[in-house]
Amino acid sequence: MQIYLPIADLPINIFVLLATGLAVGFVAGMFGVGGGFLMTPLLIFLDVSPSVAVATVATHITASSFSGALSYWRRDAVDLKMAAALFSGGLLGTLSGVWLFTTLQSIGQLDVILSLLYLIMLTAVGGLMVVESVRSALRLRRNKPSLLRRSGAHTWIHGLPYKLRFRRSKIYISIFPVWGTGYIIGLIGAVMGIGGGFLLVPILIYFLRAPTATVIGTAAVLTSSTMAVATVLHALTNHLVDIILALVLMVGGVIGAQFGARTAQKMSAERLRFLLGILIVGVGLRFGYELIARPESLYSIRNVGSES
Amino acid sequence: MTTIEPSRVLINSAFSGSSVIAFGAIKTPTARARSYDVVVVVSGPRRDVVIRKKDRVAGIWINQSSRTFSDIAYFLKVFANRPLDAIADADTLQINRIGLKNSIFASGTADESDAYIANLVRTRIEEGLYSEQTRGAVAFLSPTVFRVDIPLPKSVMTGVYRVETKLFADGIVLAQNLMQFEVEKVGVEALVVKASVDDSLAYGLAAAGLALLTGWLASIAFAKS
Repeated sequence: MQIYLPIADLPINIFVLLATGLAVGFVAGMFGVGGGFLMTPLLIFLDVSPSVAVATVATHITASSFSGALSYWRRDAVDLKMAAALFSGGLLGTLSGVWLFTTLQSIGQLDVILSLLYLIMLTAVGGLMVVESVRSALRLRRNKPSLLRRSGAHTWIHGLPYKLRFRRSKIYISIFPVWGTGYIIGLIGAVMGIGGGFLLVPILIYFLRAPTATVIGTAAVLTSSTMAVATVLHALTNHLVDIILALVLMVGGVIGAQFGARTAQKMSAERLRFLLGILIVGVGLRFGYELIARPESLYSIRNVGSES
Repeated sequence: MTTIEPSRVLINSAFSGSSVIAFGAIKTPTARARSYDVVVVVSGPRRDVVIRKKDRVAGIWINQSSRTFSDIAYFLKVFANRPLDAIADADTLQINRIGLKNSIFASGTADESDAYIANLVRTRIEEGLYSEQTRGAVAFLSPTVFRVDIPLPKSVMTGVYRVETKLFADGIVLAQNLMQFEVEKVGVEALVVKASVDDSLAYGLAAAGLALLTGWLASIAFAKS
């Protein structure tokens, strides 16, 4: 059954969209992330224009991460003070991100920058996941426990001034790295159409030394709030949010996430990470191919302005 | 001189192209003319257009150069009963803005050797937005009544379309007429597009609110099961 996406200006099969939402939601639920880093590329491969894809996925991630945030909140696994501190940086990051997005679009370089960013980020993150999962599988074979780093060693971050105590996370840390982290997540989220959970969780654990118990819930709170702001800003500045596309993706996504979360409990973590890593590298390489392959037409035509 | 049927074309989500039919009657037959020629130029909404050209930079294809053209017809079709150069000479065609190259811009003639313009015309012909049909595209039903079928492709833009008809005899314009029809979007899709532009703040807040609501519903629906 075909439906017409009004803002994407594209007829598309509703079952293909629902399946995309379910599949991405499944993967996202498995790993406890929003899934934007897969959803945005998939929409682009389905012929949705990159700018509409980025703006609409912001809406989708708002829903999926808010649903995650609420379930972590019920389990008391959210550091609200940390989330608020991250969000104060994230708000500024989102504003800069939407500004950067608008500027890149008006000079006609948005698509190529997005492809480059996705190529670099996906191959790097996917590659690391593959390497890391192979390593820990080898460690398991040698009957050694997997490494869980949480050393108490101080880094230069702990020398920074204006320290705040985050009781729930049991850390005492300067506000600056927290703001910086929030800013970066807000910025890349608004530009690339990703929630940034898969970057935020490692940063919080390894960089800010927050405990694993509260990290995922706190990240979900930050992601849902920055992405809600990004949705409003993308709608306000560029009129690119396709509410019908977003709705279909959200419904598929939140259902898929439930099954993903249940499946994850039954599978070996190493195998999961390995498979997801391969998938992510594959999507990244596809962007690389599109950058170097000679395009069908060297010219692109865009209507601007209103009726004259 | 001309009537147009229908005068409003409504596009809904199932729209897969349509067509508009124009009828004309020649009311002042002069004894002088042996035969009449009719040219119909249909032009759609005019917009500013940015055309970008990709070049290879360090191995990747990047938009390198761009040109902006003002008031380019989004839709442009020229119909005639026989080839334009048989109807009138080049100067007459240019003055009367007949033919693709004479009517792409709001004024003046397009340089078809310009690679950007040539690509625009080629792309739009492929998309069914531009055409020049001069062999019987204006069909005479009787010596003084003619008919033109104007096909509208799926990607037609909403707005007002001008239908300019010119009657020629012996290479001279005897009469002319201007009519118009309108293409409108209807249904939920049209409302969404209108809201996203006219009330973009409310639209954005609604989208974010809908997302939060969906997330909340999902969390309670699956928490109980």
